[in-house]
Amino acid sequence: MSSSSTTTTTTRLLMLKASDGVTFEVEEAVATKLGAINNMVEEEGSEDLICLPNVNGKFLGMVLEWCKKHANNNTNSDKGNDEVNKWWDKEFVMDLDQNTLYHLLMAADYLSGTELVDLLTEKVASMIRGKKVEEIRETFKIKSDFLPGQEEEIRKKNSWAFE
Amino acid sequence: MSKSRSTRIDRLSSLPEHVAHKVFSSLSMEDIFRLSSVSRRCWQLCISIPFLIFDDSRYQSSEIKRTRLLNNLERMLVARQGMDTESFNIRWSLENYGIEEERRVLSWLHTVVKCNVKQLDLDIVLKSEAEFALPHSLLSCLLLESLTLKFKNGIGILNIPSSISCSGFSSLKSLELKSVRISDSFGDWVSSYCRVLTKLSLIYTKGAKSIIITSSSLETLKIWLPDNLFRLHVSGEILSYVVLHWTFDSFPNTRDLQLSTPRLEELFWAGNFLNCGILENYTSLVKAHILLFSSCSFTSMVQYLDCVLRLVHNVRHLSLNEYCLNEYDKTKECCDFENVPFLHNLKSVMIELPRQGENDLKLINYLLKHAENLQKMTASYGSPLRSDLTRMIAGYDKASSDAEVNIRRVRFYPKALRVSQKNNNSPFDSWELDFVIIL
Repeated sequence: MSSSSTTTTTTRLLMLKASDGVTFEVEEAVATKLGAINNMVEEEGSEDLICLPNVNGKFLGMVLEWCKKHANNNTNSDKGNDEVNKWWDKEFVMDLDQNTLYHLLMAADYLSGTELVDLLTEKVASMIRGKKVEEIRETFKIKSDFLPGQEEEIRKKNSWAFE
Repeated sequence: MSKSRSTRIDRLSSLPEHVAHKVFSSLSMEDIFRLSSVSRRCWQLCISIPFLIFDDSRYQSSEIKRTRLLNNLERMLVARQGMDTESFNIRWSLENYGIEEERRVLSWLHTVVKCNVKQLDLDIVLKSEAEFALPHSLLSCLLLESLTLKFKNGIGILNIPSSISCSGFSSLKSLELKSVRISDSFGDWVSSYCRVLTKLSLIYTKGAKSIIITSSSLETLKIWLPDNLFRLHVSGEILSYVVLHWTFDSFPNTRDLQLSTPRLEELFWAGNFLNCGILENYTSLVKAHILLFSSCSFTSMVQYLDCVLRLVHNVRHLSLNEYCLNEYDKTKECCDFENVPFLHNLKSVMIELPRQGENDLKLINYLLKHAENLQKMTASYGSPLRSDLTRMIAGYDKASSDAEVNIRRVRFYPKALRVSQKNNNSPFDSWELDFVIIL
């Protein structure tokens, strides 16, 4: 299975291989939005097949989709691009389920995609912000693992003041 | 939300610590407190956050809530058991809560300086005229890179031991003091022990009559209305940006300014004029903002202004403010600016016209006539525009045919911040604000 992006003859293409063997051919300018790839290209050039054993094809694909949008939008230096990027980012994170959000965040962190990490961590933070303890547990399906009495004590000392 | 099997896995708790901390970095302390009650893993992630913000701004009115906040913050500090702290930010008001809370703030500082803190930011409101002695242990933070100590109402006291046995501050890159009392040994200490310091900012400092700094690392220096300073010697190989606002009532010959800064690129100089003659050879000085007022050592205002212009003869961008011109206008002398050497380099001029008087116009006329590489002149006025001013300026000969002349009315935002030169207690920070708007 392979997916490739359209390209002009002048841009160099990188070959990236995910943990499940899915390969992606992407323009250098797109892939180097990721710090990890950028470093590898700077160090050893762009000829080799770059294997990424910590991310599978599905999530690598999504990360690269994000990179592509941002790389393309950055090339035309219009003022409106910031707005376009913001709007596109909003769409990108809007309907992510937690599982996808988690794996994307792990992939972005692994690949040092700083801007994407910022975007995704902010999404997670927005799911916590202003919420009560029970609501946070509900949102993330967290089971309280405090010992009997421990939680009572913590609540008494701690969060009740802020609820 | 998806109902798939996988959402039953707690995805928040399974995030690696550094990613979770990244998530938490945009949450408030209240959010963090709540989160810490969610589960043991969350508690553990919360207490290990490497950046702490202790901010009481939303807890001024209710004493009960304030006490709870304090207890929560201190529990967290205790639970951390000396874990490394990247940054620590205290924004606290001791204005209505006295000695008891002062002790607590001090104990936070004592605790955090032992945690390899890299960035320490202290912004304290004191009771009127109160003093706050900063702990000595601050000076032994080996890894500290940025230190900001700001006080309001009263002053902080930073005691620098005359013989420094500690090797602290060897990593310090940025030091900012506002309303802090220092001593004459401050300059020596900066010169000897802050070897990688690039940015130094001293605002409303007290206590030092003499500041003598020699630094090979300093790039930016700001000295803003020092109290009772008599001698300022700065020697900086790579110092490129200097902001100096120094005013005093007594005769200027009791004051001593020496700047040995061969790489100076931008100078903002406000306050009394000191004829130090130090800037004449500065070939790298590109921008100069001069907001000086005269001192009695000059026999005439013409001599004064001529001297100012000579000081900055190499600059390409010059701003002159109304204090220069105001004085100059009062003399009613007809001036010649012959042989002023800086005009060849001059590309942009910013000039204030408080009165739009004859001498203002003469200066503009002169600059336009002789600045052969001038690209832009902006003249700003605060009072109503003289009806014939625009026409008159348009009629002047221009040495540079490309020179564009703008005449703009000055407006201030907020209006209340318009600062009077005579009032030393006014919010002088707004000077910069005014300046930005004028530019």
